[in-house]
Amino acid sequence: MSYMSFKQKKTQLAAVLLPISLLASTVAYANDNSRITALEEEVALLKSEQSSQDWTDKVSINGFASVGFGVADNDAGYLGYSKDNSFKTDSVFALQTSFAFNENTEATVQLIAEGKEDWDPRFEWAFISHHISENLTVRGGKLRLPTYMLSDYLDVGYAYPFARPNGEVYGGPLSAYSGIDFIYTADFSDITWTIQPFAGEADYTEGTYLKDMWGAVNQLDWEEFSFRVSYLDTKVAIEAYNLEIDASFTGLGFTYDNDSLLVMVESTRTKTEGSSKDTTAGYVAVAYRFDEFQPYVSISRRETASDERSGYTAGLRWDFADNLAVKFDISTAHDLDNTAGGLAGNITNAEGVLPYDDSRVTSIIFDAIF
Amino acid sequence: MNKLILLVTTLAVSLTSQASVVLVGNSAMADTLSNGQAKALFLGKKKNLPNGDKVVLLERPKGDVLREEFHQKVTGKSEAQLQSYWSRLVFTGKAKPPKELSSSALIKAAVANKKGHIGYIDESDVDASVKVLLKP
Repeated sequence: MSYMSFKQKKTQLAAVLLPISLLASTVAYANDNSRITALEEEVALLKSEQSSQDWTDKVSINGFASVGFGVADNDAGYLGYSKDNSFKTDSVFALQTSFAFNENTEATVQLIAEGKEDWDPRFEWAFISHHISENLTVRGGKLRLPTYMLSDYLDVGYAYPFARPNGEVYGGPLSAYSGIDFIYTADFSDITWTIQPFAGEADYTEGTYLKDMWGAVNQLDWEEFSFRVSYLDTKVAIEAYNLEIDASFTGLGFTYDNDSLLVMVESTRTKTEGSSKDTTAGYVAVAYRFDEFQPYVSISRRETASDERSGYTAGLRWDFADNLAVKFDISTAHDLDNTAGGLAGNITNAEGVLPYDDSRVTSIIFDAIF
Repeated sequence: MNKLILLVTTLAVSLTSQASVVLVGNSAMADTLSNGQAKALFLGKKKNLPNGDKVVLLERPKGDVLREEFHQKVTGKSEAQLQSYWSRLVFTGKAKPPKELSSSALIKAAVANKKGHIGYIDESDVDASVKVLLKP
């Protein structure tokens, strides 16, 4: 209530001040145009002063969306596409809101609905962050698992040049966990060092979850170069067998970005105790920006004990309007070398033969932020 | 002769309309900023000013001539690059997008009244209410 009356007083003050400044301006300015400009600025100033302490300073709402359309030349299931064209595979809508309790503490929630999940909305982020000091932040709640270079903004297509994160390295059902992390940054002249230790647990698939999970990300940023190492260690608990298996993830990342040329190299290794599903994967991606056009190419490789596959991608990002981009992309899977290649639709048929030894996906994706 | 007049007029107009952007802060601030410090602040990499105050960035709206000039000189990023860059910070909860104010008068008023607020204005609009932190 006291806040309301304070606001009313301010409005009254503005109402009194406005005629006074009007009078003063009439005397001060001979030229009508400059007088009007000056008045407009004064009104805008009064308005901005009135609203500056409003809730708009405490609450922010942002969103992003991607609408993708694509088709594959066969039903191997590469990148989630088949011969039936799909609007769902790469389409996503998300809303994010944060509330600042004070200068150092904030709550952030991101609600996301993906076409491939039949638009069932879920909370991808829901956390409270607190700046302990300028260099140290603690966050708790539901957080994004920081395993990959693009982990933090996987779904925000607008944030990267490519149609989607690399199909050989990225993927798998896990992107978020419940827990806590610390982000510490230290500056040594031109080098910024960031270390982000984390711990928590996560649901993996139906009846399988990850517990006693911990890990850390180590990143060095030096001018246009960025080096990143991530490590994660966890127990995979399978309810049906009352079983716990050790598993780990290691990621290496390199980025060169001079605002025109972007080079990204990333390599990951997933190990699961006593399993043939240990996976090694990597890619090299290059993008070059000519004003609003950004062509890109990438090559990638993915190997397990039983599957192997190479990927080639070429595409173009066009920033055709403010906050809007469109991407044209062709991605192919090759060199399966008589394996299923980890493709869900590549299953041995009645004659004992794998039906596909490659796959090509053509897609167009619109990305927006608001 | 006509051509000469035209040339001189064009030159004069282009000279007077040549904006020169300066970064300003509260007049109580002791330090100026280096290009590198201003870049780190306007890319959300640093959140505090050298005196320890939490920084509040004041941007001009998209399409503003000063905004283009400031970012060309300080952050080196085009509008599309800036938008993509900030989307990475905003959608990971790492930073809030800067506040946008549409005129030098508004920026000067905000900077003069509040500690930690910094923004860029045309050099010709500088007066005693603010301190020039950087001429990029």
